[in-house]
Amino acid sequence: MANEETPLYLAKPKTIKGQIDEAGRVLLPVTLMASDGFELVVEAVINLEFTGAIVVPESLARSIGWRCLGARRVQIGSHIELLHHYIGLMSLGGTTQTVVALGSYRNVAEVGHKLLSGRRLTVDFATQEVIVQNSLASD
Amino acid sequence: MLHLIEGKPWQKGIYLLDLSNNVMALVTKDIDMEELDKACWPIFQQLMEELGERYHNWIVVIEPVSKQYFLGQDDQEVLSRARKKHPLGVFFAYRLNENPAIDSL
Repeated sequence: MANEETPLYLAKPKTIKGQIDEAGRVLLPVTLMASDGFELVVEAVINLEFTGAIVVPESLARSIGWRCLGARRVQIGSHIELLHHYIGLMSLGGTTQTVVALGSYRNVAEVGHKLLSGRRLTVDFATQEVIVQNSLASD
Repeated sequence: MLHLIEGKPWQKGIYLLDLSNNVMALVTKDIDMEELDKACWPIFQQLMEELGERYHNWIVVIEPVSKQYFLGQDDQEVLSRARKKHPLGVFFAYRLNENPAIDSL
């Protein structure tokens, strides 16, 4: 990953490996940074219909101390629901960033377009391989 | 089912998941989303009339107590700006559109 000029501790992994679960959902590991500095790794479902960054279970967002900033309307299927929005710190493939997360009552984390923008997603159902690469890294 | 990756030495915060919702409710104050929406909706409707055409599809974040609003195209940027101005505030976010939902899921 790191070349001779880049110290290993500075190298940012450019490839993230996920997996496909028994239900056929495509999962990606994301690291959520709790307000007290703890790092929690969860596998989030890739939801290509989700236009935001990340959805986390409401109870999880609270337990890691993310600040609830209110709420918003979200189109879920054909109806509209109100969901809390949080601001939190998370990392995907070594890139730490502040994101707006939506709190969900489902016990599942989901990542959407915003986190995947600028990256290449490869899902191979034959080999069960899931790879996310920074677009520049793959060329 | 929340999937957790086990066996990684840096997975330090995993035990947090064992805390019950009841305990967490004590730690964090519940924000009534419907009340918040009800308080902000008239402001949004007024903004829709005044700014809806010019800022079509932009995101507006409303602070209901001061009735101050923040406009932008990226929800994170707008929320951060609102939070900076009202560090303890809660906000309701809409899209300046006939369908005020910001995200689809």
